[in-house]
Amino acid sequence: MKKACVFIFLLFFLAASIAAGILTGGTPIAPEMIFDALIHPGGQGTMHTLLWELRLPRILMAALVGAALAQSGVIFQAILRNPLAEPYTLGVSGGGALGATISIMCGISGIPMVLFCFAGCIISISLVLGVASVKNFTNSMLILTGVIMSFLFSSIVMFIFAVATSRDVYASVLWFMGSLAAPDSGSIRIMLFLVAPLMLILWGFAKDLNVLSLGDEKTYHLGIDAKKAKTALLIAASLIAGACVAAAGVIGFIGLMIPHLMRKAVGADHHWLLPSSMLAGAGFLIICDSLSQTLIRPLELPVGVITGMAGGVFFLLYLIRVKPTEVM
Amino acid sequence: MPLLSVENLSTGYEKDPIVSDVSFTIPSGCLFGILGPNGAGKTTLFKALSRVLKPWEGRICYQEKDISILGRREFARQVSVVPQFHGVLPPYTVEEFVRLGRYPHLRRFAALQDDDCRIVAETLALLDIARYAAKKITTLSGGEMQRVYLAQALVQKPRLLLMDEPTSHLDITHQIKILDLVNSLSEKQGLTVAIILHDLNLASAYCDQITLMKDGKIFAKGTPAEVLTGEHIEEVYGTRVYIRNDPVVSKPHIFFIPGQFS
Amino acid sequence: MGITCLGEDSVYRFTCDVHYLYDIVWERKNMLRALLIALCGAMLWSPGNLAALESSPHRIISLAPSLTREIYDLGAGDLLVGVTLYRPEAARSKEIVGTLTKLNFEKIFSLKPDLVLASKDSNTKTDIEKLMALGLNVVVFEGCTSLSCICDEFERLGSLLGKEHESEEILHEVRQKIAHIGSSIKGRKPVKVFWQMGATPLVSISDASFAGEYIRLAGCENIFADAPASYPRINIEEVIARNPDVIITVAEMESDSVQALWSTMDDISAVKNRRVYSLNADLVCQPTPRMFAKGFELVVKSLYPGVL
Repeated sequence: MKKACVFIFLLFFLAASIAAGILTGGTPIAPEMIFDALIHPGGQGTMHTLLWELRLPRILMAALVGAALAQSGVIFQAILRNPLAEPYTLGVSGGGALGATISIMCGISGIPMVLFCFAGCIISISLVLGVASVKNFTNSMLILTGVIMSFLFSSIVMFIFAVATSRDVYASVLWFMGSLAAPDSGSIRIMLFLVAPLMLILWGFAKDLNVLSLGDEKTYHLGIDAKKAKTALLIAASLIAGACVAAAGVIGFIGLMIPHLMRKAVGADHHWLLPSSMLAGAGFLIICDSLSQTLIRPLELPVGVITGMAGGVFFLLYLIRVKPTEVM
Repeated sequence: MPLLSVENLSTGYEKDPIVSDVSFTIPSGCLFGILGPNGAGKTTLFKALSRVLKPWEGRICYQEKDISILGRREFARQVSVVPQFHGVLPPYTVEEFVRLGRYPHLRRFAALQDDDCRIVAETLALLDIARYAAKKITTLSGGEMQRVYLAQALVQKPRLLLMDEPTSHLDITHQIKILDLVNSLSEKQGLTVAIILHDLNLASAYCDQITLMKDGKIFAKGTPAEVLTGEHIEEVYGTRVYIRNDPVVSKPHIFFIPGQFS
Repeated sequence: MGITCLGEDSVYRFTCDVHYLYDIVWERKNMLRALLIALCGAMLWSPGNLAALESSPHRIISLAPSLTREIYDLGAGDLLVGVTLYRPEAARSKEIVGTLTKLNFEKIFSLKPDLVLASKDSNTKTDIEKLMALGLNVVVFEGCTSLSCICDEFERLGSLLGKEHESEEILHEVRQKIAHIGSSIKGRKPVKVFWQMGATPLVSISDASFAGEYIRLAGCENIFADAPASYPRINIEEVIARNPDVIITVAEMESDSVQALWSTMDDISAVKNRRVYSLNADLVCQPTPRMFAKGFELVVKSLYPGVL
């Protein structure tokens, strides 16, 4: 009963944040004009383009990326059984950063750049899983390998920075900060047609996640193939995170914080935890993105700054009030 | 036909075997105790029985079939485990946690049916934890948690239940309660139970058959009277005891001799 | 790394000097790009469609501070409707459309510009492509490291805005000034120069950079002209070994520590002869023709004091 209430609240929250995102943005527009452009999708004019080609795609990206990062975080925390686990634990951000840096150096942009970043993410995931498979995918091995791979890729990126032109370094750093602005069609397509279906499929693996979060041994007792389930779920969760990185840069904190908050709200059963995290993550990122556009208008803050600061403060307060046994 | 038979089993973790050349059988409906000092290999044996560890030599047969050929879910429908160490747990409610025991009976994307919910409710009532159904397991005491684990194992509706030191963290009342419950399930429903115990007297009072292990090998097996003798205990545990017959349950009772090591 | 940890104006100062002899870099990149185009069909970089403008533009947005300055030089400041945050005094009243790090696409679009000016130095390819995708008319200017490039791009801007006469005048004036300075120092002994961009870490310039052009035009020698990167991080021991006659530092923010640093190194002839000069980055760092001339004058005054 309580869970259903939370769920309905989250639906309203998402709807409200979408409304907020539509009504606010980089430039103030009267609500009537927005409404007018909304109900006439086939129309022409500045307002119309602004709404349909700038704001709405941005909101869509924010929703998809927020939901994906939150869901990925839930999966990582369940499998690795670590409250600090999050989507970039397996070095995905490092791989994406390397892919982005290399494409910027080679003058690639647009869809090919997105693919390049994604390739970087896939390479880092494969390396981490490959190394961890030697030790049978134990959680500590996975986390350790992920951290090492992250450092490795970051060092390579730093090396490239040292010998690259400052223009390229500058462009790469901007990319790292993350941006949902004016998403290109390639990014949108990856999120809509790869990530969204994957997220829905992963919802069906709630049972496996429930059992995996009890530890490897329990999986034997309850008839689940731990190795297969872990590998498949980690790959899927990392791919989702990698797609987000390729599409929008590195946006932190959502994958860490939302699962914790939702676990407190709806409990640890992943049948509820997964969908509610997706809704909460989507709404949260839309709001953060709106804030990033309006706080120092007409200047814009990188959205990662808002998720970090707002999320960080909120999360600190939550941790102060929660009991130690309930952190995980 | 014995429910479980172990033939010449050797297994371990790294290079050296922890358990070597162990053979015994567990008849159906029996309450089977496994005893031994720390490090004798009891938990390792259990891990082999629950397929966490693979046998290096020998084999384990469930209903005359080698357990390694059974499917995972099929095996989980027959055998369930109440483990010893619980570790950090996610904040499930008691009901959510116990429900996980029904998973071996469900297909991948299937939800719990009415039948499953009924079984869960009955088991919670049986173990007297129905009033905790909405409580988070992270807030329970040791004894309550032990019963929750047992409930989860029981909703699996197994034919063989493996319990690893279920009484170690419990006060005396709860120890008796759990063993009474397990005993009655064994007698009334024909549930076969293999249980690792430290308390020799509890083992003596409840178990139909006992296996005594030492250094990874079986030292003695049989009825409590046959196994729990002064010589056996002194040789396996390295401590002298008195054995008297308990008049209430007609089983041997072990009396310790304090002061022998000072 | 220093790029993003400093404020907006420092970012500008640092990046404004990122002017390459794009031709040289273009060759390398072009080969690589051709390969990658074959592999993944990358979009081609198109510098905007000049022919699309039937008449002179009257609503211009400038995405680079140097372009903003040039527009004012040409007397076309009233055509500007939007600029980036770092802008000259004259543009204080104009709408801000973002910073070099983040452009406000909604703002740019809602200002309905008929011309958007971008620079390869200041704006990323991704941002420019996004603006083009929105249907805006974006004209991209090269990032220049040579005087001839700066003048060519300025002329191009002039004709784009219909201010050919003004641009010709300015260029003539600039070229004359530079020629005059050049003749004043003709025949003088070339000076060995160490140009310092940053203090921690110690960064200099190679010949493939904006400031290198100053030194080259003055007929002097940049002691790190051959460095592999355009803004090389160098070891101070190398500076001592190459023994420059003059040290010019543009690291304005750290002027005290810079002076302190050099005052301990009296084996360097520049320090011995007290020829360590600190120049205002604002004056020597702007890639517009007028500012180039001003900057050149300042540099020459440091290299050959008393001549001008």
